[in-house]
Amino acid sequence: MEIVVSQEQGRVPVTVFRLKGDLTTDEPLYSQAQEAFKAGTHNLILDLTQVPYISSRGLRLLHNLYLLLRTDAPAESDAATRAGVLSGTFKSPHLKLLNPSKDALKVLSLAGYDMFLEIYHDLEEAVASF
Amino acid sequence: MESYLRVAAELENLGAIRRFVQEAAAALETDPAVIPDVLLAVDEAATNIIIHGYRGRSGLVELEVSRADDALVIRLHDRATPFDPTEVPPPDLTLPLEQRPVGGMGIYLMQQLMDEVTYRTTPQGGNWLTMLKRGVFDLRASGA
Repeated sequence: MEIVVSQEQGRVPVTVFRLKGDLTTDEPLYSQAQEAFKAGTHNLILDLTQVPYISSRGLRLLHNLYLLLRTDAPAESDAATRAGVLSGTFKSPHLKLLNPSKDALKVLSLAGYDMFLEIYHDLEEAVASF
Repeated sequence: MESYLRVAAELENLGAIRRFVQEAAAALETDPAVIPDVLLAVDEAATNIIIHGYRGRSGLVELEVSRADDALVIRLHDRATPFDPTEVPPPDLTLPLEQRPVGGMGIYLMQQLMDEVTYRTTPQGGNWLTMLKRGVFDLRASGA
């Protein structure tokens, strides 16, 4: 898995991880995200344009990134999240996906992760959404 | 025609396992549209055997790929601690991610992607996991 990190500026700073290769393991991506988080990253786009394949271990990584970036803001409280999930309106305000492949999208959908993670097909639009 | 692979039960071999299944399925003239689903299901099954079955101990995973009527049949054999993935309850997808356990999606994906998943142990020891994907061959073209 190759990772290229860049910074974008929308209403808020956004870090973009451009990934290349199958998303089938936590590392080294999670460690890199932790380092970025410690350095001040709170908003992350995973560019999946060159990720042909996501397995359950890739889903585990997305789950951990979601938890890493979650804050204790009222809109992200357990009660607000649960209500948002039930009404289909909750999406992570901190982690978004760009250009997943058809197969990757199918896995995200089967696992129900598309209920929590916004999916974009245009980087500028994704950056502007934060 | 049946294709057979035997590899060490190590995560590093998942790529070789996927390549083997891809080539074997293609050689059987499986509908290419279903191959990604099959590869992911096999990947999840093999990962499960390696991580939860052998748990770091050395061992082997054997795979057979064959055809039965209109179904592609994948059989995985191992001699790890018996573990029946078909008895694992499905995850609750209505829960927020905060309340879901991290991980544990592999078996669920396997069952969603394949039409049939069965498990049995043998008196000689060893586990057989059989997965079927139906309707993946053009029966008219093959004259079956």
